Amino acid sequence: MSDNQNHGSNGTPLTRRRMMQIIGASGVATGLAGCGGQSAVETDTQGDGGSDGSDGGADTETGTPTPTATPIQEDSESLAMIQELAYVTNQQLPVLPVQEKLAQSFQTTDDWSVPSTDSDKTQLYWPTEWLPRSGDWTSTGDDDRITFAQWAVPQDSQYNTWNGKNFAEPRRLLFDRFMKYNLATQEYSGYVISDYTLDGTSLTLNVREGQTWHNGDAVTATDVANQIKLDIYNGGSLGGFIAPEDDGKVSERVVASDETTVEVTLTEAVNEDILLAYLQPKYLIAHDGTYGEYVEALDSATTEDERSQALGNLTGMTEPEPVGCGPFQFEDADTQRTLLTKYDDHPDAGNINYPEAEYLYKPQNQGRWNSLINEETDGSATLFMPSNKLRQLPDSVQVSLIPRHWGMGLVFNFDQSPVDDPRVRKAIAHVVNREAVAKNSGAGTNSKIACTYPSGLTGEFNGQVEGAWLDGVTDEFETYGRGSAQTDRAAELLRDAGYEKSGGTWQKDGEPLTLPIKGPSGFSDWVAGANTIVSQLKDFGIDARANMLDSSTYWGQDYANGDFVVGMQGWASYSQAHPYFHFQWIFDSWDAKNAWNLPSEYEAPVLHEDVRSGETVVPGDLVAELSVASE
Amino acid sequence: MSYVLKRLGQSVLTVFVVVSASFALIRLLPGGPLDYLRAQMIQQGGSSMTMAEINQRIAAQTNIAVNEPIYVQYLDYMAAILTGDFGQSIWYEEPVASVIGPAIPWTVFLTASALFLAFTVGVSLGAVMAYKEGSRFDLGSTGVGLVLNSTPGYVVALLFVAYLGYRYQIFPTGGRYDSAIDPALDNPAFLVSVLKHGAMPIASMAVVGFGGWALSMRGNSIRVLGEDYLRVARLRGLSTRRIALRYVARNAILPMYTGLMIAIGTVFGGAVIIENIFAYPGVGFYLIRAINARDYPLMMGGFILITVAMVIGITIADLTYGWLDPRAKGGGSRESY
Repeated sequence: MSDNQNHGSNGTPLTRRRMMQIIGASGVATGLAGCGGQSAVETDTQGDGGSDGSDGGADTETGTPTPTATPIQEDSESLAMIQELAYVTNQQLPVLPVQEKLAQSFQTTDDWSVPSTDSDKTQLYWPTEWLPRSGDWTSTGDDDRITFAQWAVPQDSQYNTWNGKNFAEPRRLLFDRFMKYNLATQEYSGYVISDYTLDGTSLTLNVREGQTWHNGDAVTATDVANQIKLDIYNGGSLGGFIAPEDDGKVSERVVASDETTVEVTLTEAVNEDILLAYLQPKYLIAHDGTYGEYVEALDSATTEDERSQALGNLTGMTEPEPVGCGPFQFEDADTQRTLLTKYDDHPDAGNINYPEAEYLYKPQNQGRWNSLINEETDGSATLFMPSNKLRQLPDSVQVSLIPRHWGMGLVFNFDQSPVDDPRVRKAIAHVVNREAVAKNSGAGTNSKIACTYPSGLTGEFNGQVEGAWLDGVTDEFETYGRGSAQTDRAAELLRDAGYEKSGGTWQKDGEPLTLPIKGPSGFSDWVAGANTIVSQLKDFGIDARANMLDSSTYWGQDYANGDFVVGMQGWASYSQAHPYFHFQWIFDSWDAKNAWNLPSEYEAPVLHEDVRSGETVVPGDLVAELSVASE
Repeated sequence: MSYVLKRLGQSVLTVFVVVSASFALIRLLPGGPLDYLRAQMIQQGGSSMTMAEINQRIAAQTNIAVNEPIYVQYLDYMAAILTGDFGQSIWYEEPVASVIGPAIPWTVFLTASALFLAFTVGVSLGAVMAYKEGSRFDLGSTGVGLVLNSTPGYVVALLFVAYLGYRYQIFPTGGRYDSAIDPALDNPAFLVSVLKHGAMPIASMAVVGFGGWALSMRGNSIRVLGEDYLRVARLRGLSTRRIALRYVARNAILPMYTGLMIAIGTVFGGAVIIENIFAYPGVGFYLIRAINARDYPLMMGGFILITVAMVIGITIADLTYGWLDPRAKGGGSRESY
């Protein structure tokens, strides 16, 4: 990877590593590592299956990552801005961060050689994808087929990512990602994009040479450009930096200049780490022979109608037998499994000493747990396994833990009373004992940890919030009582907001303070969390009710239409973990604007006067500033 | 003849009413296919998709967007199914017939095998129980039959999966056959694998099914055994075997004929839950997926298949019962006996 071409404030070239140290040490990278595309599809799609609401969860005794916070230079402008945004979040609580979680990943060790659980090598999203490629997941000789699980019926699976349906797990071995990111070492390294250069608004991507698609076609810059373009045409976030106003410009700004070089023109200088966070997780799927016609149609579309017609054609296309570029190629799929065979021409094929990989159809968490216990499967990228099942795992199955930088929180609909009043939101935060919620939500696995400072920052497991991001300013932040219900403080706030306690219930103008909380019933850990929160609020005298809806109804209707007062939602960016993404999620996302109906402007005390002067703040502007290249 | 026409007319009307009601009811389900897709994407979230991106993708799914008023959709749908067109599955993006069609033989294999087992075992057991009326065997069997008949099939299925599947690993826990085996009818390994994969689902249904048949058979047989014509038969010196098979069994089974026909009518829809427990891709398996995904055409296809099979089963029972038992010939137009 080339160094960052941006310049530090003293005029010297600022390398990427240097920049990392300045703006956020381990946190930045750890954050970025959870980045986009490293999807937790594994369990999250199981909303209707009574599964965990997310993908992690493990017994911390099996090896919680040790806190490794790195000190941060306090004079960093970016850090100050991050702290300022965290402070606004902490003081205004547009969302209430409740807990963070660990992702749990499994590897069997009797027939397989894999790195130990404390190895940096397991700190990649996802180990099932990277360890085979790097030669760190090899057969010891008795097994010539690696076995994982998939959610969708194999023969119904398809691999057109833009279709959105049944994009099944074999993608992990069928397609290569643009880049690699290691959570522990906080480093990006090249993969299909072997190298890159960022010079102001010009981004150059170099494609790994000598790689071919499974039909023999060379992997070229055209394929990579196709991928970037199709993502942007489908609303991908990179579009905001490349063609924010007009999709018609995409084809001019993403160009394959030769066989192995893609030139991307940005509309403004962008923070390199944020750019990488978007690029790194992309799978290279857009084989020109398969998707070229769709790219061409979208490139040449001149009207909105033409574009939506072309998009409709793309999203309606299914690709059940894909031409991939990963180390395994598609062989066949029936109702029970997808069979892949090693593609010997892949540059990393030499690291793999088994000729086949299979994905067995396991549509329920229970089936996956039992398959791991019986060693029917050789591993799982990530899966929530409760403590009673963890105890049944044979000694030969190891569990690696990966900080997820994400977790359950409460979101408030600002168009609805009473949560449009910050005092009510703060009172809720004081009443809720987040430690108790995390404990019940973790169902005996200790996989959830309560947020100490509800601030929009992640890294609780690694001690990053306190030790790195908020180093030196934690005293200014309100904890709202992490492991206790601060009912006196809450009562004070409610009285200030005009409520009085009467007959054990908080009331205003004779009307009880009512808080209906909606959430997805399929996320069992969230349901447990919601019930705990409701019981705490009730004990305090708030008429709280948990209304757990069918997951599709909740996400697709109630949540998406803003039909809730208090909703359950991940409080941090699901896909990326750099604070930029969290604050963008909290203040500037579609959800914030349309589902939570957040205002653009807040009144909050100032933390760093050099970042803002008055109490009025537009967090979206600070987020936008954070995204551009730092000085 | 007019009875036959009337009866067929009733059947057609039943199918029409059920299809119309199903059409209306499934539209009352909260959410629609787009909501499901949106929910899927939100939950998958993984590929750094923002809600804006998700919305854009949803908007691009023009094939899912249903804009016509519901009565227009209803009329279009009814017109289409009359021509044998069940529409295109929204989730699988294939004609409904292509999704359900290949699943039908597997479902029929499960349900028909289970029914055959339950019926033959139940009838044989019931007959023996009747002959040994009042014995410990009869009492014990009646108790067991009652308990099993009152047990939901899915409970047995879950126990089978937990113990025979996962704990003792005697049978596979899902699928139709071992993927590593070449699926050819002349391949003995394939047939063995199919039987092995079908064993637990079939057993789950058969175990809870035979008790009912046994108790019916027992009751009918005891009633027949007390009939005068049996005494006459014995006095005629007919062999016990002849009496048991030709006189008792035949007359005892007769009242169960309608029940059997109705049971045959459930071959397509009788294994919905069982197929899902065993992850066995049959009709019921896809029906549940269709319901989750609000895949209206696929749901309707599944419901229509199940309804039609049931109506055909009952109609055949009605029309042929008179042939089996002349007393019932001609519907309700005769005097009662």
